[in-house]
Amino acid sequence: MSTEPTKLSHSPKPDGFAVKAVGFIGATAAVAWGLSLVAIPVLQGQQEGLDWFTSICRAVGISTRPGGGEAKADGAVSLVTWSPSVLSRVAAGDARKGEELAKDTCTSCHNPNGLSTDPATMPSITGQPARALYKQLWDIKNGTRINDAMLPLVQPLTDTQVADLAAYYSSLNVRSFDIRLEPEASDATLKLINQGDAARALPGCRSCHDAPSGGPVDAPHLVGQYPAYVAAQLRAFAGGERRNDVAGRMRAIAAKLTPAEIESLARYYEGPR
Amino acid sequence: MLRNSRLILAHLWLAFAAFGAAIVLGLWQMWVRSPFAAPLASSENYFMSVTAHGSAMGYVLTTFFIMGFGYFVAETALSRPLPFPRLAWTGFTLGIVGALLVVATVFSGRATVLFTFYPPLTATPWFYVGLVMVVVGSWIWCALMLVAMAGWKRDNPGQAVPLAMFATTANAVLWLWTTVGVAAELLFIVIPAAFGWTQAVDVGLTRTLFSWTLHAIVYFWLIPAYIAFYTMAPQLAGGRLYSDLMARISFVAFLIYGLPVGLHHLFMDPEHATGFKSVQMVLTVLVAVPTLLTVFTVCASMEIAGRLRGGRGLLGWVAALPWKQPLVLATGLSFFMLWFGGFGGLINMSYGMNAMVHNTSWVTAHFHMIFGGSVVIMYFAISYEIWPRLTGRMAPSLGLQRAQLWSWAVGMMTLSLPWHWLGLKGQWRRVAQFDYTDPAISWWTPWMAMSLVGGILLVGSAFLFLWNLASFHRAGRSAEAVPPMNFAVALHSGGTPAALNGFRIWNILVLVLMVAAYAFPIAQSFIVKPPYAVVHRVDRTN
Ligand code: HEC
Ligand code: HEC
Ligand SMILES: [Cu+2]
Repeated sequence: MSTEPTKLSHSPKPDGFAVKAVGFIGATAAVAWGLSLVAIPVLQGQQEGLDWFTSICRAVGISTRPGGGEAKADGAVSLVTWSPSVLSRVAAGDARKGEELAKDTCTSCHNPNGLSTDPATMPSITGQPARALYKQLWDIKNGTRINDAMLPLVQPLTDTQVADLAAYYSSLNVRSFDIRLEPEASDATLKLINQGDAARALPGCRSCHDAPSGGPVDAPHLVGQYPAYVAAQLRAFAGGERRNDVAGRMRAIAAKLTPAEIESLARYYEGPR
Repeated sequence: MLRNSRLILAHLWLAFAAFGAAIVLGLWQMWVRSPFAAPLASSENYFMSVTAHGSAMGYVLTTFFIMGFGYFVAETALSRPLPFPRLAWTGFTLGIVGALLVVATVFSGRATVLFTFYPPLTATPWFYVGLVMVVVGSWIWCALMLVAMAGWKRDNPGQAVPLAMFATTANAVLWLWTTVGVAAELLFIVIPAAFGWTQAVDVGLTRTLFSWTLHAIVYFWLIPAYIAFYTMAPQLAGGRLYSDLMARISFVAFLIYGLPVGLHHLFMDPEHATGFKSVQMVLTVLVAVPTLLTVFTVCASMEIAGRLRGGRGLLGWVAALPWKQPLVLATGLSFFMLWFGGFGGLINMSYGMNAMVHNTSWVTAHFHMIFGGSVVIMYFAISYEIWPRLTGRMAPSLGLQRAQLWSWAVGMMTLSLPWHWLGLKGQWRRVAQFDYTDPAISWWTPWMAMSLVGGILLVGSAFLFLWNLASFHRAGRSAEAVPPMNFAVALHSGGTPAALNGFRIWNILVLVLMVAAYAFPIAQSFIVKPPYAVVHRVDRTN
């Protein structure tokens, strides 16, 4: 036998102890809720000239102000928002349908494999993240990114077709090298890419670009991009001709780069040779 | 020897195998963060290691130790066979398969999300499936504890369930409530995202659900230590438990106030307004009550023992206690660390002061001191106490056991005090490597070095612990018979209120408090329609 059994008390019902315990716990709960949701918020609200109802709503987290309204379309940087439904549509893109569609409309400039027919003026879109492709196509379609060559081609596309095209080009990968290899570059360039430059408040390019970073969902990959295109885009961001980057992230960054830095970054991103 | 020795030993050895591996990772992590060059140091390896260390210590060590110890208590305190031992083995099998899945996914680099997941990070789904299997295995244990206690009550009407079993069952009930939050988070949000069925998650909601689990899980880990304080330490010291009633009130208070307080982990988070954070802060103040009750009752019980042994005067009874008994020594060391840890906890739970320490190393240091220190040292001492009953062999050396307990306590203090300090000075947590050439932080060097020394002591102590346990198995059958397991008898017994012999009314209270504390914070996600965060998959390169 391990323990001497303890006799239970034979208190009359209802159990006196239970009643006391429930009373105590109820009282502490009343204090917790009363203080936190009524007394303190109302007192604090009074000092700010709020009525008691607004104060309590504020403590609970319910806004009593009229809603902020819809975002305005004109002058917008981009009309793409990453809501769960948009993300699901992009994820549901059908690469096979995208391939069919690309045959008639895109391959003359972007090739069936996504590499450009003219690296001096056109980007490589092979293996880009589907979300980056989807956003750029929509921006071009909406005119928030100006591209006269593509505008008539993308204008008639439905949302599903845009997602299918994005799925197709992101499913390809014809890079001739391992993107994890570090291309050769000067220390200054590598620092710009990996750490940025705190003195100019420049974050490292790598914190947003190139997998598997934790950057914005719509950031394109840069490794393997043509140098002429990278340099042209950086200059366009710096000069404000391209302004579809949400929150002006790339415009702010590109404006701080020197022409020499733009050249060396562009050469770096061409990839290891 | 016990009927279920093999079952219990399987659980405990699995727990301690995970512990032995995880502590080596822990030391390596301290080393990577320190100014001294560590082998294989990279951010990827660091976070992989932290994920493995946290999962092994927080989920595998604890869950399997608690299950094994629970089976031990059920058999010894109730003096009757465990019901459905086959089912217990099923729970163990589920748990071990789940634990192996976790290990495999973490070390293949596909689950580097840390052990508290941090959505919108998502790992391969099999990581979460592994964790769910561990939890489901532990639910089987919960059911068996409830059945064992109910069976005893049926056969012993009018008698109070022995305290050790009452507390173990309280822990099982607490664990069932606790796991609801994380289970909902995993099953409804994280696992669908990990399989790619959804592309974005409501991060506020996932954190709210996790907070439901996050405080109570710590009490799940801690209750075995409290069982040892109340029912084993006074017995080994040669005294009596001062009050059985007080003990039961403490365990019930953990159940009631351990749950509706989790929002104190989200004080600095934007998804909730101030009201409910404050509600849960006030309730958090009340969880200090059972700990204070315990300190009082256990000190009183030890005083009885000390005086029975001839101790006199105000403090003479302390010196008269049998400190050579490992579990008595561990209780003293655990209480010592509990002061520091409890004090730190009071700072963390204060809405205002929390802002100073949020997301700094202070927090990591705090939970190492209170869990790794106060609680795990009792896991060691409990093991030393029950291993003879499991193996039928006496310990070859109590001296080595004491050396192990001392080195653990000294190591944990050396590790965590400088760590607390650096946290107060703003050192971030969850950062792999620091640039010590930066003059702003170069002064950290000696403090980091001290912490690292603490880590080395802890690894040494952990290996000594495993050695001590292994030597039971190597020792020959001892000449002296192993005395049967006895739990402390209460000085004041009799008159246990019927309400403290079961959980019905406490479960109703928990339900009411949880609805009042969490219904709105959870419902808010559906009323306000917050923005969703895009899932970030760590198991793919794209
Ligand atoms: C007439 C040639 C031409 C055709 C046909 C064409 N594109 Fe383009 N595309 C371009 C040029 C030129 C640019 C770069 C414009 C600039 O410099 O801003 C471009 C840019 C893009 C970009 C942005 C890439 C980036 O990294 O930001 C995407 C995506 C794209 N094209 C996809 C398509 C798809 C899909 C089609 C078929 C529907 C298509 N293009 C058809 C010429 C073409
Ligand atoms: C804060 C995150 C961030 C950082 C840091 C950043 N970028 Fe970007 N970058 C973006 C995003 C997002 C886009 C896509 C903009 C859009 O939506 O049109 C982009 C687009 C670009 C483009 C156009 C690519 C294309 O295919 O059209 C280039 C080139 C570029 N970045 C270069 C750089 C370089 C070089 C650096 C470092 C000096 C850098 N970026 C740092 C986020 C970042
Ligand atoms: Cu907590």
